[in-house]
Order: sequence, then structure tokens, then C-alpha cells
Amino acid sequence: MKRLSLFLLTNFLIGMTFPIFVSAAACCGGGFAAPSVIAGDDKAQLTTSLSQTEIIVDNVNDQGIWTKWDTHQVVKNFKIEGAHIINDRWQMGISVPIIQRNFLNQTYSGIGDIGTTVGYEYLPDWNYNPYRPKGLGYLQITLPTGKSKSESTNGGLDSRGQGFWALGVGTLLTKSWGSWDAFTSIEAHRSLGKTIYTSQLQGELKPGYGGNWGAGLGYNQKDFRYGGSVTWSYEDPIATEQNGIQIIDGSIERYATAAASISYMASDDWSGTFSYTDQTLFGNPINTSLGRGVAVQIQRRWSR
Amino acid sequence: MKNRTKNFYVTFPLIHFILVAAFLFGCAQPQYIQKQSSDSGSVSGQELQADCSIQFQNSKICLMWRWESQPTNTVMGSLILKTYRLNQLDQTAVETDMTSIPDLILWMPSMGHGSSPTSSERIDVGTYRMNNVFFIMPGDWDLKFQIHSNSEKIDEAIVSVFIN
Repeated sequence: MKRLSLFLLTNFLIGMTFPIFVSAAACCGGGFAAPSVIAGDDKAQLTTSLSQTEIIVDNVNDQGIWTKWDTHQVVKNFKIEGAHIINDRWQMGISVPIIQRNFLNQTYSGIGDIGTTVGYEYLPDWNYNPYRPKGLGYLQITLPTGKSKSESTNGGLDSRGQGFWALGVGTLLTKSWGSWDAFTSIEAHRSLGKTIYTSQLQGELKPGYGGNWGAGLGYNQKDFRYGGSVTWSYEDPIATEQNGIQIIDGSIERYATAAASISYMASDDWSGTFSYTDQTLFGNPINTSLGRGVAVQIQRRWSR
Repeated sequence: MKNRTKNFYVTFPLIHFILVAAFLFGCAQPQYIQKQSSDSGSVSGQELQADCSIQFQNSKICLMWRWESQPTNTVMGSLILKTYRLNQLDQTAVETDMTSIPDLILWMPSMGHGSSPTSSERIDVGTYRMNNVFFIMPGDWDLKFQIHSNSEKIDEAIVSVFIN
């Protein structure tokens, strides 16, 4: 019974902390929309989170050179996520972020890219196998409800996402051993192009593939989980075409987000997480901005 | 038992590899660039040379520019743009008006975004002032001097600068 409780606790809390790490904001538009998935054995869950990220390194250029000023953008992200099972192993979810960006007394806010998810538990852990991980695969469609940085006419301050339709697939593998747990996740997506016409740019934006790859480790003690993780993010260059001729090549974007978190399971239905993220620690970032931030998250679950 | 062993050999090394790679080999190695006091020296050089090294793509009219007030990370700046052709006798600069007042678009090509809008005014023959010049972040930027007719871009000259 104790083992079962610990197993459930671990899965709740891994699932709760997982989305924070892949949604950390990078340059201008922010990261790719994070999936909303039920990693535990619940019927439904509703999660709200609030994060604040300060851009520490304002620019890492396409040669990997870091430059920073003494004034930085601050990005706040309030997100509501919901997920519900469809049947025993299928689930669906939605993630709605509201993003506020502040720089030099200018503040812009609005809805970010909405992510919708359909998931399938392809590796169930009904018998609590000591070695085999629990595996969840998902298909994600991202709606371009957030303005892309290329559409912005004030340097991306009013940009709130990638701003492209995107189709992605991913998987989340979780495993616990006693008080310890680990997860790894991998996600790949393809963003679709769009035509824009602003005072600064006219043409067709041609994004490509992107992805996230992360892994984390956690230690569980009573109702608490202490965790750490690293997630690498990559986006293909966003080229710009005018009349079929490529006028801007763009550059790949990549960065890594490290996170440390502490979660508390107040009851079987409620839990909360506080996390700290830092994008300056790992990876070989290119063509991005790097930030540090904190986030609080509250989750309500409904058991089966 | 066989399956358990197999799973162990798959799962444990995989997670182990990921974590080791993450924490030991993935540390960021920042390469900060030294901040320059000003890049106006090279800009002044362009103006003094007036060698027509920068041209509008269609009209082939030459341009040179310099900061009138260099922008900082908190304050907007302004720049002076001069357009000219080369005298056929001695290749000296002859200031020439464009068909309309040029617009200045600040664009970061690697990241694919611009900055806040600028405004421009004509001061004299072939001489224009670009106001409200502000870069939203440091890095590699393009100064895109554009000529528009009925809101359509008909000519352009691009100058690349590094802002730090």
C-alpha cells in the first residue's frame, strides 16, 4: 500500500512539473506550447500556473556570442491547462497561456499560442513493474493565437508565441524506484508557414521543424518532491520569401532550460509546485535570449 | 525474469545516459563580447570616404550615414543619411534627392523581428534625418533604408551593424 501511494504521488508530481520545463520563454515569442497531459492515473486535472522570467542574456547571436544590457525584458505567463481521459488509455487536453511582456515601462499582454493534445498511454504500468517505464505518447496541434515576433512592429514586445499552426508528436516516459523517480520526454513538431504584411516585413514566413528533449530526476519524501531537470529546445530557421524568392535565411534557435522544483501534495486532489528555471547553465545556445524565472503552479485532480 | 532483465538493460542505461549527458557535458560556455565604447568611428569613416560602397538596389544611388545621436539601451537615437551620386569628372560626391523620403526599418535577420518604428524627415538636398532609432536588444541588426511609392517598396539599401 505504501508502495502504491508513493507510486501515485510520484506520478502526480512528475506530471505536474513536466510542463513547466518545456514552456519556459526564450526570445521574443516564447517557447513552443507545452502539452497538457495526465501523467498519473486520474480522470481529469486542471492546472493553473504563473511564471515570471527575466531575460538575463538579451541576445545570443548565430555565432553563439552572448551580449547583455543592464535593462531586460520581463515576461509573465499565466496559464490554464486542462486534461481529461476519453477512455481508459486515451486522453485529451488543452493549454491556454496569457502572456505579458514588459520592457522600459512598455507593457503588452494577450493570449499566447493555444495547445491542444490527444494522448495515449502506450506503456501502462498496471503491475508496477520495477524496471519498465510508464509511457505516454501524444499528438499536439498548436493554434497560432499568439502573435509571432515577425509580425510585431515593436521588436517583439507584443509577441506572445511562435504564431504558427504546428503539428507535433511527443512522448513522456516516467519511472520511479522507491523514493526516487525519473522522467524523460521528447517532442518534435512541424510549424506551417504563413503570409504576413506589416510596415516592417511583407512576405511568406517559412518555419520548419522543432523539438524538445528533456530529462529529470526527483526525490520524494512524504508529501514533497524535490526535482531537477534539463530540457533542450530547438527550432529550424524561419526563412522569409517574397514572390517565391528567399530574402531572409534566418538562423536555427536552440537553448536549454534547467529547472529545480519543489512540489507539495496537499491531498489526493490538490497539489502545488514552486520552481526555478535558468537558461544560462546548460547547452550551447544560439540565436536566442536567455532568462531566469520562477513559477508557482496549483493543480486540482479528479480521480477515476 | 528475462523480460525484467531486458527492461533493466534498456531503461537504466537510457536514463543514465541522458542525465550524465545533461549534467556533465551540457554545461553552457558563455562567450561574452567586449562592449565597445562606440561604433561611430567606422560609421564616420564611411561618410568621409564617400566611395559609393553602399547603394540602393534599383536606383544605384549611393548612401552614407552617421549617428547624430547614438541610441542606448534606454534612449532613442537619430542618424543622418546622405544620398549621392559620384561626379563623372573626379568621382566626388554630388548630393542627390531620392524620389521620396527614405524610411528606416530596423531588422534583426537572425531572429526575424524588427524594432520600434522610426520616423524620417528631409533636411536638405540628399540629406535626411532618421529619428526614434531604438534597438530592442543587442546583436546583429540590419538598417534597411527603403523608398516607398503608394505603400509599396520600390528601392532598398541594407547596412549591417552590430549593436552592443
